[in-house]
Amino acid sequence: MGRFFGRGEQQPVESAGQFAGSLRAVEGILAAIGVDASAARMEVESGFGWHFQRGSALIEVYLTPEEQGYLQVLSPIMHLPQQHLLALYRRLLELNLQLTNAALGVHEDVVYVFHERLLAGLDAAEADAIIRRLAQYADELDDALAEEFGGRMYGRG
Amino acid sequence: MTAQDELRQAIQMMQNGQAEAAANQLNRLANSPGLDAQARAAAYVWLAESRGDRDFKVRCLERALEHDPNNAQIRHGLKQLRAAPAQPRHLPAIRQKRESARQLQQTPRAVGIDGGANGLASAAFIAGDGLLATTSYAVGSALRVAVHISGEQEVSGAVVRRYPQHDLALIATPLSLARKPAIAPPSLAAENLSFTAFSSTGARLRGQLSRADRGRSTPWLATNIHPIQLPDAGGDPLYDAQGQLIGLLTRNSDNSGAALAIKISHIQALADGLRRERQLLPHAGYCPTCGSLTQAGRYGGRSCETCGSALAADGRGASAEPDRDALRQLYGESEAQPCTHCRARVGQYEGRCLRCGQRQSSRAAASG
Ligand SMILES: [Zn+2]
Repeated sequence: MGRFFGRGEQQPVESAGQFAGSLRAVEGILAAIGVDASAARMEVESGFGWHFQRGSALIEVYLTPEEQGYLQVLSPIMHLPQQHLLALYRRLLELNLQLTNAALGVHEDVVYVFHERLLAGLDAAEADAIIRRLAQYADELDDALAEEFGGRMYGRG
Repeated sequence: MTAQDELRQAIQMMQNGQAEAAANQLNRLANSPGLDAQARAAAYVWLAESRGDRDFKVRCLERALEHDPNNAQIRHGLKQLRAAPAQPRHLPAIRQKRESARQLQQTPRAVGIDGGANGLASAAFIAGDGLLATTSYAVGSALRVAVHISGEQEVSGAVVRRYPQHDLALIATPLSLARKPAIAPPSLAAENLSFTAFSSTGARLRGQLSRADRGRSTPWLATNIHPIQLPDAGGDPLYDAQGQLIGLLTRNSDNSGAALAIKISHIQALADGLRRERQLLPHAGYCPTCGSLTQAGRYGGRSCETCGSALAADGRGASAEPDRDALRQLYGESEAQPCTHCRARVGQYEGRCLRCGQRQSSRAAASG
């Protein structure tokens, strides 16, 4: 997904060695929360990606190689329906204001709930809390939104 | 001037009350080859406004529908007109209440509005039928407000329309006035004109209009009062030395920080627009989120067609089965050309589908 805004602070770019360290850190964190990192690994254009199931939610985790290492966690919620888009977009913005440390967004025709933070200082407990929160949001939102707006829930045909 | 410009001009004339001149121009434009079918339909819809008699209106809307057969609003307006006997030009919301309307012998300079979004505010009667004007900021998303008139019992007012971009709210009351309120002619609002702003709190502010009203199109009057001086949430009516209403003070300010007032001529034009809207759509609901009239509830829709916010359950129609075709029209989701990528008919912005965000392929769009 292209970015409209920069991330603000311009710190020195991580060296290849630091990035490898970040990669080991994420894999360690995934292992610590019970995810088999090598099985969950997916091909991405740059950086690294993993996907796995948490409850009813599909979770995607990305490690971006740009600037400093960033951890992105996102969960697809639903495909956009063919109708009532104005009402749905408005509802998404209303809900967006109620989320803590997470944002709703649309990429192509899928609604996502999203969190991003600097990798530096992240430990397994915090990563676990982030993933739990996102999974919980995704789980609550997909049923409610699909019922109200009739969009197909992500990954459920 | 293009035919489109002429149409806009004619609509403007109609809104300014120049019905005869507007009707002549609209009659010509309705058959102009320079307009597409939808614009011709619009000409007929506005032509219908030039006369009060129902048969004329019905004929106009029938012609409009011939040009724009998929227009749900015209279809609906026509249905309403055919079903109802000829009606006088009043707001239905007010007409219903007038049977029990109490008449005020004296028109109060300012009335108090309580129960809006920002505390106590002021308002002024702008018509003999008890219609009040205050600011949109003062009312917010309230559906009803309490109306306080000095020496009278409190009454409940229904917010019937809000124009957030003009910071105006219109409120219907179960009151009528023995005499029409004294309103300044549009030519009066001039630089250095002295006024007194009346607040429902009893406070009075003296001031002057600070800048000549050069562009007649601006709805605002600049004053030499600072918003911090306002004793309430706004809507304080401004009167000239002859006691004529010239505008309503708001908490908006210009670049110099001085409070702006809404011109009374602009308020009246919007109120006239509401009367026309009500004639065409007598059963439309009111959306408290954006302030517009909404028809979605009548067709079983659950959200406002203007802002997308969820409508209150009691604002929705009783019909169990939504009228899907009408709703698609209303929500703008019946584009003739489906998205070349996802086939949705929700329209596009800057060449991208509003659903999937994909750029439309011109080849497929051209072949239709
Ligand atoms: Zn599309």
